[in-house]
Amino acid sequence: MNDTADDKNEMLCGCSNITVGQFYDLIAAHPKDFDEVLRETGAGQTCTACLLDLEYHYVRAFEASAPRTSGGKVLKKAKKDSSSLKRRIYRFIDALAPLVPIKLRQVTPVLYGAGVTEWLCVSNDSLMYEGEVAAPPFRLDIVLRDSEGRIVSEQRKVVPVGEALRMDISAPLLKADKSSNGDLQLGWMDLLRRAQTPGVRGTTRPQIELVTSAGVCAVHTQAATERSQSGLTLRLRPGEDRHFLTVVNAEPKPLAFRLAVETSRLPEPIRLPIDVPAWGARLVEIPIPSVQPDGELGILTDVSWTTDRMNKVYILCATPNLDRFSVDHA
Amino acid sequence: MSTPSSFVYPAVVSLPLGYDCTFPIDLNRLVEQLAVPDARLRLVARRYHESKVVEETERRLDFVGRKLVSGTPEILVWHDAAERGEVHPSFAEIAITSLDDVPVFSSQRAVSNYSIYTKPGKKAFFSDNAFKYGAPPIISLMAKLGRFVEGYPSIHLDRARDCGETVLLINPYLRPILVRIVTNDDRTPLKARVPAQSVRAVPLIDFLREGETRWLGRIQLTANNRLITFHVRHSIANTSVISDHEHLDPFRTERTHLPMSEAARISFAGALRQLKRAIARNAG
Repeated sequence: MNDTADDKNEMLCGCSNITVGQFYDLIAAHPKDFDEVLRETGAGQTCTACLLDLEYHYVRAFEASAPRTSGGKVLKKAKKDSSSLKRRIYRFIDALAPLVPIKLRQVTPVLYGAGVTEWLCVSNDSLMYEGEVAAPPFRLDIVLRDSEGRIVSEQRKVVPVGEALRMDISAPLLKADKSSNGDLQLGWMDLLRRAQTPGVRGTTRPQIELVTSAGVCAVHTQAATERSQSGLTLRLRPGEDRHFLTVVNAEPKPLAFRLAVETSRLPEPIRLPIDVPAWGARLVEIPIPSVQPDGELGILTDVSWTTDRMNKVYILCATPNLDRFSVDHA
Repeated sequence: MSTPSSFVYPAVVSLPLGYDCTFPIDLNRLVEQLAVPDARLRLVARRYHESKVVEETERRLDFVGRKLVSGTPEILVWHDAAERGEVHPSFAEIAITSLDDVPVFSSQRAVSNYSIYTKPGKKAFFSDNAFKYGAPPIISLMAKLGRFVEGYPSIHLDRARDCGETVLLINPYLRPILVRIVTNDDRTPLKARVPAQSVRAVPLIDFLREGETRWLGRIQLTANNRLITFHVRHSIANTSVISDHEHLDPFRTERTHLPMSEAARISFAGALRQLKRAIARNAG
């Protein structure tokens, strides 16, 4: 705390007239998240030049205030904080309650066929591989389902500290698909992960990697969303790219996915109604409107959709012969 | 109810060489972030290359009753800087503020959308943009561990498949930053110095040991200041043919466990949300 005490009169945000000392006092008395502090003080809101300094001092102030709240002057201030009675009761109960693991459920499309192999990659490395700070061992429950929602494979894995998992998640789907004609097909992975003992999450965020004959692409996994409408803007270029959406239904009832493809040159959007069975998935190629491209940049196109259940949508961009992909969350 | 703000955090757009980049302005998301129905906004986009602003453009976005009344803004496009002879990648910073500093935004989160990268004869790709400030996982990392560390868990270098990878280091700040990249299997670290408001590309092919043609591994990087990082997969023969452009991930300091009472409250809130959705669906 010495350096902060020495600098306490230094101006931190000139626009809102806040000194370093005032900023530390505020956080010690009312620990809040960074955005809330900015909103309440007005610091960093005008010219924004001090935002990085504010972040730095926020981190320091937070560290400095933590030990002092276990006894002494600041604890008294903290007791007088503006938290509601409800929040204080919650805090009291939470302090007594046993800890339980947070179950992180992620919903991920799995491609197979057409020479595409998809891998699940989960690492559990210590900070900078130095061995001091790491996540605890993580347990993964991996369920693979086909496009109709049938379970194809169920596995449990543990990723110990310092190790990584790299698992082919296309192979079980390809093996189970008796009608596969070599075309690009879609299943999905329901991944539940949890730490075996309390700690931090470290590097354990799962990643999927798509390997094709001429390239590799990857993206981290995400949870399903309740968002009922979404969309994105694309540049569609006939003969250069193919765009696909992968739609996963993360609920035990059918999902109605309603896609609209719109450009300023079309009088009406192209509308595609897609019904996804319970726990199922669909691969949808985005149609290219029959209009003249905007020069070499392609056709600026808005793709939007509505859904009525928990879902996850990814966007794929591929070469026409599907030898290279990129993948992103939509 | 939180106090509205007059700006959202600036977004940083990566501009690798060899591609035109389109930045669609997501008006729907912008409207969602408005705390008031009427707002006069200014969007300023500056492209930085080697510590200088080399392009600057501005758009006015006026909303009345949450409807855009200033006309559809011209889309932002940065053309391939390699054609101008630039040898280092660049970046653009997008700032959206309200005119006269009137607080109009309910959240300071940067308006998130994908940038689109295209070039004739090459497959397109998308990329997230990054927060210049205020990214919660980075703030949490610095608060708990006091170090900036990001990583990538699936490096896949393969000369036979022509698969190369590069880390793009974007320094939008005013001081130079020193970066060190290490691997899970103790390869010779790669180091870079990123000048202020500049970008440096570190090819990961340099991690291959003599005689090696393939490496599947993991990396982490640290730096003497936070910076913005992207991981690019590309051809080895022609590094400007890019398959994929993704952000690295900070070392996560979020907790893995929570009190059972808090878990119960979260479950209850989730069930309540589901119930409300079901009721709304049936009513609709």
